[in-house]
Amino acid sequence: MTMNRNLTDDQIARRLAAYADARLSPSTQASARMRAQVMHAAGNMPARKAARAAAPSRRPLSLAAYRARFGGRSRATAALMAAALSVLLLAGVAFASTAGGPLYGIRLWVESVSLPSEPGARADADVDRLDARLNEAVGAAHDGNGSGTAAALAAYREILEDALNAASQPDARSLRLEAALARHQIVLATLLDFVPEPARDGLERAIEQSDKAVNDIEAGNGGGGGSGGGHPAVHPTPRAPKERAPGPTPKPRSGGPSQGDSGKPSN
Amino acid sequence: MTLDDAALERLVEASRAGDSQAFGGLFDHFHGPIYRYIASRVQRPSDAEDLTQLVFVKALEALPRYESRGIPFGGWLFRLARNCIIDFVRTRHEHAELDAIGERQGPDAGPDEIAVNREDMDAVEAAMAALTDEQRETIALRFFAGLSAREAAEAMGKQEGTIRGLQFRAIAALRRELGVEAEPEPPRIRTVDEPNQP
Repeated sequence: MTMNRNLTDDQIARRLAAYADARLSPSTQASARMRAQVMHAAGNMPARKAARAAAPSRRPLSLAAYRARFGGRSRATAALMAAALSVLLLAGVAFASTAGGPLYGIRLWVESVSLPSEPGARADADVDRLDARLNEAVGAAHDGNGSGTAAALAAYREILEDALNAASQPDARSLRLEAALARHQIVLATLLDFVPEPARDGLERAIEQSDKAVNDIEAGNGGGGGSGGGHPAVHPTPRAPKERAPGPTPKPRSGGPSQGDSGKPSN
Repeated sequence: MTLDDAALERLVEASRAGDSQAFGGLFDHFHGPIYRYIASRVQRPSDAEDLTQLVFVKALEALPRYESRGIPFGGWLFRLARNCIIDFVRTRHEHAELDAIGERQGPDAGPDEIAVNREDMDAVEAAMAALTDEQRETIALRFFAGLSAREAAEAMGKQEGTIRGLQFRAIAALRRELGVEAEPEPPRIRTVDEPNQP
């Protein structure tokens, strides 16, 4: 009887999963919208964290330096001033090196010269840089910063060329790049709705270039076989932005109920 | 996007250190389950979308205070989601707009298939409505969001055994409502050595 009950419990579990897929899952567009908003909020996080972290890490040094010169009463003031100066300096550098800022090019250059030389690590680093540029573009677009958006998208296209060269062989790295680009295409398509006019041209070129890159990778992998077995799970689905229609929805996490775990309390 | 526990822990640590890319990874991993859980509780898709964003923004702010201490990150995040839903329901009158939740069919689904699926979905929805609130929430966390019993327990602030009990009773109720009956056991063939039973 236990086996029969497990069978029926699995039927229930399947129907619940089908219900969640059909009626409760976010559309591809909704996922992209939510991601853009959340990443915009997250984009402001590093500056805040850096400013917060600066004070405690620098305070002991400042205190040590001033202890010899000043009396006890002025130590706290001196430490506070040093911390405030550090925060100001960090904030200034952070502001100047944001997309479109005067130090943005330098930051990109520093990034590029510090890339790992090993091909695998290099390809991974390129994907991370692409993610970073895309987030900068979304953040700048949200702020209505046209030049910042354009600068971030220009950097995105440049890195994409590098990444394509680094992942020229059909292997796990090119698949990772393809998966990242599929995700980026959704975000880029969403950006079309609110990109500042000066950056629109750059955005359209970025979309074309990422599209072409995906096609190139698929051609290198044997003509579109990349989405078959062994392809990393991509969410949302790669082709959704072109179709402009709700695509297949993500499945519940693998850690959840599965056969043998459904319905029947174990342990 | 699937992640093992170690990878998830690395993403959480990196996010706590201010790495927004890592937080993007957490979003990719959790936003679907969180959205499904919320959508099952608030009905309107637009509200589910807003609340999902809110959960992640709150998580972003609360992450520096998050300490693992054996609490699964998923459970912690879903507890945030649960609190957001409670606040939302408390501050706004929830109007169920069931028609607003349109199911998405595959591109090749014909009218018959759509009709059959719609009937099936309606049946599941009606069966869910027959559950108690706690049972419904347990089903949402376990089957719609895919949480483990431990994570669901953390999210609901209950013992793991309580969650398993709630799930057991919910499944039994769904089985009754959906008319999914256990198949009768096949007749047992008596062996020659067995004595005759009256």
